[in-house]
Amino acid sequence: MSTSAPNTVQTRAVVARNLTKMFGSPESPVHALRGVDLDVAAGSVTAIMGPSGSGKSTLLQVLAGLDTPTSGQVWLAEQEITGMRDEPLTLLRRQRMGFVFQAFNLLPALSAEENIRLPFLLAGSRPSADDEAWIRAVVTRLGLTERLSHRPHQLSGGQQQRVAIARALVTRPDVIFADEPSGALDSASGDEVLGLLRSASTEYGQTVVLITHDPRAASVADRVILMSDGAVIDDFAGGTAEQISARVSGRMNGHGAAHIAGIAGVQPSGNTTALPTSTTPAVAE
Amino acid sequence: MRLWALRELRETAGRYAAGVAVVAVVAAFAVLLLETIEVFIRMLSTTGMQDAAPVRAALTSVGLAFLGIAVLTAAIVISGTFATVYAGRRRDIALLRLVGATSTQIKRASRIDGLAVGAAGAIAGIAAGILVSVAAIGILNASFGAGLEFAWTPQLVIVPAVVCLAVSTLAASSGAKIVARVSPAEGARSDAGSTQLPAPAQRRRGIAGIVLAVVGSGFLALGVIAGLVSPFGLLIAFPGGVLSIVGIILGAPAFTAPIVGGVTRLLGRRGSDLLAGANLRANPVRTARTVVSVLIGVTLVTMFTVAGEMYLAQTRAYFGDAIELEQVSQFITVMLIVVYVLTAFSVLVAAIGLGSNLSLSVLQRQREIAVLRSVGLTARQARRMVLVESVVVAGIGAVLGLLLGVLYGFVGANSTFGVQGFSGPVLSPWFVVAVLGGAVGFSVLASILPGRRASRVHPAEALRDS
Ligand SMILES: Nc1ncnc2c1ncn2[C@@H]1O[C@H](COP(=O)(O)OP(=O)(O)OP(=O)(O)O)[C@@H](O)[C@H]1O
Ligand SMILES: [Mg+2]
Repeated sequence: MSTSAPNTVQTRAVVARNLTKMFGSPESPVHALRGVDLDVAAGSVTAIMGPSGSGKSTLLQVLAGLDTPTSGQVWLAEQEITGMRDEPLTLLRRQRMGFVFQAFNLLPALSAEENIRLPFLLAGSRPSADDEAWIRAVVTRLGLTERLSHRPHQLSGGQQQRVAIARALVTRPDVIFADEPSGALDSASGDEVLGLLRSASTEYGQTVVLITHDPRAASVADRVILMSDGAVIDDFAGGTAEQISARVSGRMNGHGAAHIAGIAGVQPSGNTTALPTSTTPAVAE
Repeated sequence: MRLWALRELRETAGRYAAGVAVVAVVAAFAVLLLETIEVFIRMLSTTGMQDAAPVRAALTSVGLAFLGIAVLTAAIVISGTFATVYAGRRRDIALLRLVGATSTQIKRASRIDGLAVGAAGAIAGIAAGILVSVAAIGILNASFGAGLEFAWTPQLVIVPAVVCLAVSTLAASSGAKIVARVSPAEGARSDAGSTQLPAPAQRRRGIAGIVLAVVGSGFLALGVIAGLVSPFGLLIAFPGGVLSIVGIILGAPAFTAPIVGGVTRLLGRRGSDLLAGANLRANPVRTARTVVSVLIGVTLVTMFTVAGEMYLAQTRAYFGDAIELEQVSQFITVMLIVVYVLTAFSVLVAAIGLGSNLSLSVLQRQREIAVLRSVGLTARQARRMVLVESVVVAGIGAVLGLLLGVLYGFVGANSTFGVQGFSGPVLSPWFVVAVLGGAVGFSVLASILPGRRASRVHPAEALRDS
């Protein structure tokens, strides 16, 4: 039935081949993705950047099985998720993926603790002693011990995001998908949230795919993928915020979209020739 | 402002479907009632009855009492619908306030909704009522050669139209009361938080409810005592019934919350059931509204059944003679059937209320459900979550309705014919089983469409709306 993922060198957490996604009517289609290929190394942090409307959220949702591509395939480790039926796919999300969105991650009816334990609650299973110890560790690490009985509307934005991250960590998923997790936060809380995602990878070996507009946020990543108009236009090893920002604005200028280069936090400077165009992907193909 | 109100109305017209349906049921009921009385009176005059005026007066007042019950039920259901719809628009309204809309403008906008719902429902209901009357007269003529004629009077249109427009505009403005007070600051907050009444307003309502319920109970008790000496005890008990039920409805969140809390904690450890319980507890006002719509329907049916059975039992004790007993019980049974038919309209209104509350609550939780789906709620679990919410609410409403119905039936019976001897309430276990079974059965049915909608929430789309 499902074909196995194309062979490559390293262990990969997520693989995508030739993904396209079209919205709207056939007469006036919106091409949100135009043939995206992607290999995400297990245990790495990958940042997806690009101007507004370039297809970042769409890509993330298709990778996570929240949306179906118009064509193309997606694998989670060795399991193909495109074409999977809804029920097994939902269980797969529950067990092997974690999610952090920009805002509105939590259920207002549940306390912080219930929100964190949601995946266990949905499974109707009591966490094992081992899970319990892990949940306690995560809660402590995220500094949420004092907040467990609070409801979401009693928490600050940063605290809400930390609860969302705790929820994404408690099941020890293979991959955590985050769509602008620090987008709605001030820079201190934002840094903290990003640091936590970074350590999910460094300390716990989890794979993180995160979308961000902010080169500073992207600097926690091992690898940066730049999208424009539904396609990946650059793919490079991460670096400092300045390096990323310079490279992104260079690429965007080169792409004939000078006006949107501002999203990288740097005004287009005119030196469009400075950066090499060949890239060194973190995962060999 | 008017532009915004009209556009919102057009875009969310589906949410008012239940309101329109309820108004239409009431309008159709009014037409049928008036037409039946009119035709009956004309029939009497052709059979040579001299003065039909007293008969007309009697029939009209009985008819109006039942119409009043239906209107009251409708008012509760529609204002619940409006309140829920407006609560869902809280953020938008706060934004409008932020850019300068006054709360008077917001209230005025709600009147447009009320008028639209009232007019749509009245037109549909009056048309349906007239069609059904004509058809029924045709069938009666054809099968019994009754020789009846459709009796046209202007009241047939005027009464339902006025009643419907009044009910729905009043209901809309009472539903909007909560949101007109929304502070502009809420538009600026990222999280809309809860959709509750502010605590002081909630407390005021609770206190008003308790006062009304206590005063009403006083009248009920007086009615029973007066009934021991005169059949006019009902005239004292009736306002007591109205006051106490209004009090109970106003104060509903205060007493349904602990009951809902207790019942939902008994649910098992399945994820869907735990979520259903948390949802019901988290929004006590919305939950209370749904409980109330079931409660009213069950209370009405129970009240008439208990009063009827008590009357039957008393009559049985009174007449030793078998033949006379036979006739009297037949008469009471026929009366009960007529009463059931008349009550059926109110029960229908209450049923629509349950269904609409459920689907509105699913509509307004799209994003929550999307988050749940993304972290692993299966489609089946989504359906079950809605099912459990529906059954729990209907079960609680049915039990409370049975209790209240027994009380009202008991008071009604004793205040009317207590002169013939005080009697205790009579309730057949079969009736209890039928009511509970009916409520659960209906709640399962009512949950199917909203449950399906919940299971089909598309996580990607719902999350994009944020
Ligand atoms: N449901 C939809 N219907 C129609 N078009 C859509 C839909 N969802 C997304 N699009 C379009 O697809 C394109 C990509 O959208 P997407 O949300 O993936 O962009 P993005 O890179 O995440 O942007 P942002 O940075 O603003 O979040 C956009 O042109 C958008 O308008
Ligand atoms: Mg996006």
